[in-house]
Amino acid sequence: MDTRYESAPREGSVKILTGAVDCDVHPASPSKAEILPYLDPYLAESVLQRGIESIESVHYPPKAPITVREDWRGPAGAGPALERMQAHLLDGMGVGTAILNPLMGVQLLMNEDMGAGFARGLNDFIAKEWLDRDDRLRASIVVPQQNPKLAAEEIERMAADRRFVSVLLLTASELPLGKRYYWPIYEAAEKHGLPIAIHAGSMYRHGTTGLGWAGSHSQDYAANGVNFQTTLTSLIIEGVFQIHPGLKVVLSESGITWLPAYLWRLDKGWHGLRMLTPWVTKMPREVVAEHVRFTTAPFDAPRNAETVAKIVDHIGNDDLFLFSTDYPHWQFDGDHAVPDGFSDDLIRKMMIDNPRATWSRLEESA
Amino acid sequence: MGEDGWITLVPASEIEDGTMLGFEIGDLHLALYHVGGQFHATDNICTHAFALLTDGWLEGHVIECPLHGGQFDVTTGAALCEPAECALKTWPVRVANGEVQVDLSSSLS
Repeated sequence: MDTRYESAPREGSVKILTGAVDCDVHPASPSKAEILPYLDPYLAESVLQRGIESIESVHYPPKAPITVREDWRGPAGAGPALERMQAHLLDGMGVGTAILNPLMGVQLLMNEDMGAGFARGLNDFIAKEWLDRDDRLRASIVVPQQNPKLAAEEIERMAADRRFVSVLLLTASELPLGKRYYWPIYEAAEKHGLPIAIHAGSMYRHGTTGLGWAGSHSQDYAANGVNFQTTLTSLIIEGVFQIHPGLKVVLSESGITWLPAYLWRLDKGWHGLRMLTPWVTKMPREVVAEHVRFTTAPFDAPRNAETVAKIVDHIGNDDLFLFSTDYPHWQFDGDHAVPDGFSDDLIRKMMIDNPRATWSRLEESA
Repeated sequence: MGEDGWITLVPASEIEDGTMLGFEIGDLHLALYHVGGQFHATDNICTHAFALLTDGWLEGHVIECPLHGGQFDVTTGAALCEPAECALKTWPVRVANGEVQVDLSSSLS
């Protein structure tokens, strides 16, 4: 055994702290029957007349291990899915608050109005069938990423429900997410104090990698990491945080262990070419420290506490970490949600302090 | 301007260490730098093209022009890298009664 990459696992898993926030959790996507009552009449009629059975993104193939851990699978439907989440995560692992990031795939629709209609229906469904049923749940607002103006309108519509604590976007969009085209979304989010949760996923307008379409899900999933780097570069260099100084971004299911080398490279590139982007007045790593956070699942690193501790040291900023399980995606076995090698201080920060500093609405009661 | 050519630019307390300020005095564009506890002054127009250096980046004793990235040593005016080839004119600086002053007498000749 190469001990750089493997070590005997710590006995027992790190206990979830009381009041811990799980910053990236996924509710089961609604079936056609479940979502229909929440769609406007025209869209509901369209769904029936056109025989639209489901909207599922291939990003998480239904039977892929990553999509649902085997012991977390169960009957379909929001009710049973919520019961499983309560048993596995909220009551089972002791998570105090879970932030739901729905991954129904409304962003993939080519028709902007249909995307907006499904987004409205999905948000109303989440409010009624999930948030109303367990006051430990919060959620991100799903928006029609196809049309930033309609997306901003949906943010305005849902922001009054204080249980919605952020705005969800998928990483791989039609344009890099820092482009001015998307700035209406950031303006609306900043206005309401809502972080942008950018989650692994794609609208499939482009190949799954920067070099084109890959041929297997393993390649697609690995490409997520690169897509997040591209997204982060775009947000920083296009000046999103100069225009919206109050905006926070949470990279969700992004990994974080790629961050050090990426920032070394971006800092160097920015420094040498800053005359091209004079509006970026701070080093990229300073921008990240101020505006960007990362959920911890998946934590892509060898299963070796000493190695993990070195990586955390390279990252160099405990404020960046936000605890997540990515439930029900299969990112860990048993209750081993926290990698060996995290210090007690880091665990406390990522479970308790950092989420509350990132999502201001978490301090409010349900 | 006093008879000896010294003029007051700014109270020393108003320019923090590691920062710079630009001034326009008649036809002169001046850059004042506070670096490592010392004050330095140079022309504020890059010798390569027409850009104000104080719109650029000051790191240590090096000022980088915002237009094409040419760099100068603010303590000597020396051009440090392409495309800057000609040195900046430097101006004598002193602090008198808490005020930063620059000697412009050489501009009169």
